Amino acid sequence: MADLKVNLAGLALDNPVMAASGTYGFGREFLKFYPSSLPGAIMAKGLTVEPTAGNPTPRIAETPAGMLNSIGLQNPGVDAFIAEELPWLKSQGARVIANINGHSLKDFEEISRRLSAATGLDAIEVNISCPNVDNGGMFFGTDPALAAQVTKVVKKHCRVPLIIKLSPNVTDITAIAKAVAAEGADILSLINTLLGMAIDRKTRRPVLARQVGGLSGPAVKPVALRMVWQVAQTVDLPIIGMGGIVSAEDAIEFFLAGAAAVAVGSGNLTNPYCIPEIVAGISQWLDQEGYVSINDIRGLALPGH
Amino acid sequence: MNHDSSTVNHSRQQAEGSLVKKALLTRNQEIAKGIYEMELVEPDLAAAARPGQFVMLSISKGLEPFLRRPFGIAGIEPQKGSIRLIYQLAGRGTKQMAAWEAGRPVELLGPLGNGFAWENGPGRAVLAGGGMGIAPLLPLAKALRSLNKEVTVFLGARSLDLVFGIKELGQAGCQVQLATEDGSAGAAGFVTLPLEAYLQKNAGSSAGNSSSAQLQGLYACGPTPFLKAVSGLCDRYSITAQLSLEERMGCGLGACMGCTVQIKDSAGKIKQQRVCYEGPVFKAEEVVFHG
Ligand SMILES: Cc1cc2nc3c(=O)[nH]c(=O)nc-3n(C[C@H](O)[C@H](O)[C@H](O)COP(=O)(O)OP(=O)(O)OC[C@H]3O[C@@H](n4cnc5c(N)ncnc54)[C@H](O)[C@@H]3O)c2cc1C
Ligand SMILES: Cc1cc2nc3c(=O)[nH]c(=O)nc-3n(C[C@H](O)[C@H](O)[C@H](O)COP(=O)(O)O)c2cc1C
Ligand code: FES
Repeated sequence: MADLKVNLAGLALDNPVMAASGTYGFGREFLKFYPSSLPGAIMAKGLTVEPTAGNPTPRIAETPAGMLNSIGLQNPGVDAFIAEELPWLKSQGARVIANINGHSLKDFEEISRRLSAATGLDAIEVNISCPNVDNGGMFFGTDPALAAQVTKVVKKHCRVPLIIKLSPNVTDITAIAKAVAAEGADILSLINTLLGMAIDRKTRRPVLARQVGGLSGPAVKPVALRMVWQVAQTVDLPIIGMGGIVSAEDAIEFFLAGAAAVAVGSGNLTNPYCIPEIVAGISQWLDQEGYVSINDIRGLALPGH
Repeated sequence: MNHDSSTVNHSRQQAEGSLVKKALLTRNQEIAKGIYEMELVEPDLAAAARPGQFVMLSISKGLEPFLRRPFGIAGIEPQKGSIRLIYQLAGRGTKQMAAWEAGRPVELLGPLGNGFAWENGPGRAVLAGGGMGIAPLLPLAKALRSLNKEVTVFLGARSLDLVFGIKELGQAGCQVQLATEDGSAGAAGFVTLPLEAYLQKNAGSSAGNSSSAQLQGLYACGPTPFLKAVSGLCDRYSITAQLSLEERMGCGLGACMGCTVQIKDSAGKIKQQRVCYEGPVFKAEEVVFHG
């Protein structure tokens, strides 16, 4: 059996398939399908300093081979996460990554300060790319200087591996990757959702109450793969690849593009067994192709290999 | 929803285990204009399902359409090992479903959500369904009748050709009151008019009513404006009601926060709750309607 263990800048995981933030809650809802310790790690629902109610509904629209969401970061706040969700997840044997969000540098500083006191956290993922909150993510994630500032502020308080999650809504994702790498990002995750919209012909109105939302699912996979492949050639940091992964085949392509690990988002929503199926499928493929470790296929599709 | 100790608790917990089901389609036919009824055989599902719960149907094994479709459970027959769904043609998913033939395997998640709650023993209940909202009330009506309750069902539809369920409800011994917006059958106009007349006459103490049993509660399902109107009536006539809500769903599992509604507790504090997980049935007085 091929070895699925990976180590991303000190974040050691039994397998490289994680649950992407916002598609897995805080893990509780999936316990009736399989143990919380099964995913390589669980990237918890995006947190804000204070509890956030989120956007009005409809928040979900279906699109060709994908979906749009405008959840608006509904979450119980970082303190509730530290007091309830994190200890619960740890008691289940899960590896836990907190996904943090802010409307200002001060927000990012405050949330990372509070998380620095939490025990058991395996990593922090900074969402600089959420397109849903006014004056928030989009702003930080699309400007290299601002992205660097957020990284610096969070790094100051971060005692665990620091993941910066990149937005695909940019002209040159490698410029952002370089900027956050220079300020101490340990790992990069990409991609977040692409800004999109859906219109209802019957009502002549946008489907989403917030008009626009984040596109995810298989429709975005080619964009995500291309970005992972580009960033892998630009910076020397481990990459968590995501965007449209719903099968082991999809996941394998991300490793070949240079990802050290992958995350499954929308796939969890349509198939609750998506992650265990992908873990099993990767293992089977590696055996069949004669690889001893998942690390052996990393970046094989990059130029020069 | 939260249940009083006096009520039957049909919680999701009973059904946990393998929510992913492979059912066999045994019947799929048009029962009203653009409205179809589908029978699915899956004994575990039929045994676990409770009135008010729903399923998330997988339309295709491929990537298109991407999301599962939510449908209320419209019939529960544990002896036959089957459930029924009643669905209206709406878009590409339901159009594909209408073309499915008996013998086809159908993959679904369910039963999901928390169903309706009721008090054991006889009594009297009012059910109000608007449009497709009648579908999940059918198994509820039967469950209440099997406890010997007097059940009156108010059905609202745009026109007669969209009406279904009357015969089934009659056979179960329910009183049925129909209203159509175009006046093609029953009372003309919104069904909330005859409903209000009924509540006016029957709310409060049972003394002086034609019927002897106490009115225990109202159950409603339908479009949001309809539920809002029903909720207003229940408030006016001091009747407790349970509403089955609808929202666009990403997962049906409680994971995506796509289906959130605002629910206020008895202290007036507003909480975000998921139609698919804490619902779809909520107490009328707790639901915050917008707009
Ligand atoms: C808990 C619940 C129970 C339901 N029970 C029934 C029922 O018993 N009978 C019935 O006919 N319909 C029911 N609906 C509505 C039904 O889910 C939609 O009509 C159906 O999903 C439309 O799919 P489509 O592919 O034909 O339409 P499309 O418009 O192509 O669907 C596109 C997307 O929008 C979603 N969508 C479209 N309309 C609705 C809607 N009204 N509510 C929620 N999502 C919608 C679809 O699920 C899909 O994700 C229920 C909805 C919910 C939330
Ligand atoms: C319903 C939903 C909610 C999401 N919420 C968050 C979030 O809170 N924080 C975040 O960083 N990304 C969030 N995302 C983005 C995903 O984590 C992921 O980056 C994106 O969906 C691409 O992967 P996928 O195609 O596998 O879904 C969300 C995505 C979806 C579909
Ligand atoms: S539909 Fe995903 S939480 Fe309800």
